[in-house]
Amino acid sequence: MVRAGEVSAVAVLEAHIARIEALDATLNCFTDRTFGRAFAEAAAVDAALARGEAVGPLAGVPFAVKNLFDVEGLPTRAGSKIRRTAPPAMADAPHITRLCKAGAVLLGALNMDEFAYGFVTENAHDGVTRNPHDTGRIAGGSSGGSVAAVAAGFAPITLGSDTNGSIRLPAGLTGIFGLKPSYGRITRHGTFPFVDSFDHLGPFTRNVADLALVYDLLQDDEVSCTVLDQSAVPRVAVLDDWFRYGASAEMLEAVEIVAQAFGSNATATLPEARRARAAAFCITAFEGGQLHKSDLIARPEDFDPATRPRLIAGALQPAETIYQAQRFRAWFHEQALGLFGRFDLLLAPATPCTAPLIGQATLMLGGEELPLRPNLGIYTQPISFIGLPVVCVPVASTGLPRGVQIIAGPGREALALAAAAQLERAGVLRAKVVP
Amino acid sequence: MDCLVDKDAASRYLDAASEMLGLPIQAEHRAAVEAAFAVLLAQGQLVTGFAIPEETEAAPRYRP
Repeated sequence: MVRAGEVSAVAVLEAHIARIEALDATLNCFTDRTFGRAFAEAAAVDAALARGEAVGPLAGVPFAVKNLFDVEGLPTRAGSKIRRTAPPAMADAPHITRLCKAGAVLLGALNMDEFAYGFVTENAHDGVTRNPHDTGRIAGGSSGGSVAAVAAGFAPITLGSDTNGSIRLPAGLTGIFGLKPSYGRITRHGTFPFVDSFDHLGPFTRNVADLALVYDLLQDDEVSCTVLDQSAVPRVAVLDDWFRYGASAEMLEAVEIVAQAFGSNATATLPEARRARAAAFCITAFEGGQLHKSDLIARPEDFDPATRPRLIAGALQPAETIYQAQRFRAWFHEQALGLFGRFDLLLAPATPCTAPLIGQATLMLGGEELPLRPNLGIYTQPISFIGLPVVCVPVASTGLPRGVQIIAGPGREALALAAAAQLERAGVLRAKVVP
Repeated sequence: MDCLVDKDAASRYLDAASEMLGLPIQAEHRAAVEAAFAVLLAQGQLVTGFAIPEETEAAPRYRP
């Protein structure tokens, strides 16, 4: 609309800011607002259009980023108290630079679990981010502010990170699209790290076309993902065994809806996924603990109480566990590649259940009452463990959102995006944005 | 999954590792760290209890 001259970029920005001002006191998505900068960027887009100059594909589109991305002039807090006093970033992360170069307008930075170590975005320092579809429930995490901002209509595009599920899990709980690309596909430069072995960055949007467009702007591969027509019918299978363990009936139904839309009755087993999840769990705590060791020694009281014990315990783990976990990772990767010889895409729930209540301590999993926080990501952790690309898609339905992971082989983002677009066109998938 | 390591042994390990690695555990944080460590030990046992083929190399610089 901005590119067509139907509305000015400044008017679009004002409408989004008005919505943020009206609703974010309740939802708590933004930790930093860069509205002054956004007005300057929007005005520049309008001025370029007035001069008849070409503008980028995101001309006048507001966006925001998880607060672990460097934003020039802001400390990169990464959800922490500790980094609030860090020197302001000297430059934007390259992801922000690329989107702004395409005409996008930066609204600010968004809430997250401390140091990205969590699935709930109940942050001790910055407060809880609420699910826009039911404010008594969590938005999920660790990219909670990023998903809630899209689901609330604050921005059509946000960026987040995913180490163990932090893009897919919250996207699923809030009913939007999220892409966790292949490991290493998008640069991590200009972002605050968590776990070197598993950290990924990726976008959230309201539709697949935007997801593909933003991904193309962020990645350097020669294969464009914006061509979403896929002539070949993908070979699709539902992951069984671990990826069904403990899932609620409504989540299993969501996966079945997607499988049926692909015309598939096939199932596949990714062997030892439970151990893969365990290995990811241990490596995460170890690398995260080592990363923060100096602060855990110098100022342990400044950590979120939900983060601190896991980082300390993680840093003190036996070396044997970490070495064997990394060996297991290579073995598990081989098993996954074997499956992709038979199937193009694999399906699994994003979460075992729909969005839990804020403050909920436990969930029922396979008839057992287990702690909620470590167990929400049981279906996402084995996949990021081996860096496979995943499009998390919202199944169109009434009620609380349900997300399904469409998992592809390494480097096959284009295939997963095209498949998601096919189901979106058929009306099987639809983002849930609050009116 | 229950941890198969004796709780006292885990506690002694934590003390030794904390001292050797120079990462103190404050008294007020001790119970939460012990609980987190018990979860990690249980998960770690799942990993170390698997017979990985000898030729499998570690993947610390993994690329898919």
